[in-house]
Amino acid sequence: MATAAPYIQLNKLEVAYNDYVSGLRGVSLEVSRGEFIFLCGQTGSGKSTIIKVLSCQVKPTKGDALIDGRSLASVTPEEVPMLRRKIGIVPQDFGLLPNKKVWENVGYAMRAVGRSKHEVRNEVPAILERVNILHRADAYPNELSGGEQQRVAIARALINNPPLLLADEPTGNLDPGHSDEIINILLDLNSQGTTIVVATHDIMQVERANQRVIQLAGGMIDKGDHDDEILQHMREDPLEFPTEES
Amino acid sequence: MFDRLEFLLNEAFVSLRRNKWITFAAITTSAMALFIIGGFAFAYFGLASFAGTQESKFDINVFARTDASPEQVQALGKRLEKLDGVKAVTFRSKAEVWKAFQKENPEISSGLEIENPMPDTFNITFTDLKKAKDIVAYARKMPEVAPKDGVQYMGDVQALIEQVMSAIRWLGLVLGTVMLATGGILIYNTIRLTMVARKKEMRIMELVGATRQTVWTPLMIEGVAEGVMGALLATAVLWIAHSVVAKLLETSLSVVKVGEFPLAVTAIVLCLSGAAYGLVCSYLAIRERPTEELPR
Ligand SMILES: Nc1ncnc2c1ncn2[C@@H]1O[C@H](COP(=O)(O)OP(=O)(O)OP(=O)(O)O)[C@@H](O)[C@H]1O
Ligand SMILES: [Mg+2]
Repeated sequence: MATAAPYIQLNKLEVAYNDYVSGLRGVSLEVSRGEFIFLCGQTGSGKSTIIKVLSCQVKPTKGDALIDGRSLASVTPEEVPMLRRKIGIVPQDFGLLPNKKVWENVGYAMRAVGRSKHEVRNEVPAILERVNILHRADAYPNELSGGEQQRVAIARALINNPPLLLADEPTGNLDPGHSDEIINILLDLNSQGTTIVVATHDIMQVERANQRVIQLAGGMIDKGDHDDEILQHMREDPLEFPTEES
Repeated sequence: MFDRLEFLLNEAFVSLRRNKWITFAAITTSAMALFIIGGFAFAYFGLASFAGTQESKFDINVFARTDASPEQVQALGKRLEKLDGVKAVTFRSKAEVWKAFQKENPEISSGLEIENPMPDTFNITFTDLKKAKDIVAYARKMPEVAPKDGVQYMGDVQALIEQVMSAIRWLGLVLGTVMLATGGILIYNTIRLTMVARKKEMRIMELVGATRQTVWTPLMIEGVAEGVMGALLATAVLWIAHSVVAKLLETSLSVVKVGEFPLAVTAIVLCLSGAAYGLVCSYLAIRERPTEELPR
């Protein structure tokens, strides 16, 4: 499925939040179209920062990030909306509107990107069906379980039918059963061709999914691809992460 | 594109309804600002036109010395007539003036068996008001004219009107500016509050790639709506105030005629100013928002 030219490319990407805090300190990485990757690493290692750069929420301080050949360092604020329509973003806190029903949450996002009421009526059911939440279409977010809310958030990320999906800690607040469900949905979307980048702590899910893993530490890539040693360590002692200079 | 407009308008009116009281405050303060400015404008232009009607009536009285002979008085009249800028000189003898005074003020003059204290009087009207001052000065120096208060110069009334007008101009400007600033800050604040109240919605919009116009337009509509509603309120209050003042003036000073209230013009001018004002204030509020956290 992966084609020759990388879909996502990070070139010595550095992000400095201010003079003292850096989010990333030189990350180089290539992701092919249709790939599924996990960004792993202890807290503060820069997982969310990568997601933020890819979703144009944060600009590279040095180096560059490219999506489909488009440099994100040179993006102007006016260009951001159109770039975002090619990226589905699943925020860690779901970001659902509490006073809107499930279908309205998805519909509202569609209306915001210029779709008509007619389109909302026609397309929302199918989108909800893709993440298996159609039966709860008329519920309000506070009537849903965490896993169900996460599915709505994913559904909303799919409204533009994006070729790339970014999820920050999609299983962060979920119990293992619900986490499985979410990862299955993401795997399913991936099998339909969507490139997926997931930032996570959830070592169980990473292992179970059996996809490419990028291990980050202190804003740098710890080691390429699958690192069994670290996985092993984290599994044995999940609360005591390996130390690193900081 | 009606569908699009519906979405944007709906977004705007949801937030207008949501922070009702702040909206109310913003509308009433803008209304007050526009009312004060409009009210002073009315008073100013009203007085200006009143002063204009006074000018055509503007005249002076020149009193002859009481001991001047009839020939001297006649000569004075001739000389006054020849002055540049004089339109007409009418003569009233001391007897006529006294009679008229007695008739007008019977309570003062009746029973008093005194000698006629009135002087022979010339009433002068002008073709050119700008020359009035020179004519007055000239008349004062003439030997036949009474040495003290020989010229009754109505310029004082004129000067008073001008003073009042400049006071109105200043007061209107100062009060209007203060109220405009207050109204503006309130509109600005409403928009800021809306942005806080709708942080979630705005974040979602930005997350899914809504254009800036989509995110901004409802906020601008909200600001404009507040300005326009303030303007409509101000128009209504001005209308009422105008009719009250008109009635008062017409009953107490029967001479003054107050014109019709120009409802359409007032409403249009105020609404346009209110809309422009709301637009500017909401734009300032929106612009101040840091859209993204930008690391260096
Ligand atoms: N907005 C910000 N301003 C300043 N520093 C920030 C900001 N966001 C992140 N950082 C810093 O950048 C570094 C990387 O943060 P990042 O959020 O990418 O980590 P993370 O791997 O996602 O951590 P977590 O697992 O806790 O989510 C951290 O040291 C963090 O303190
Ligand atoms: Mg994070």
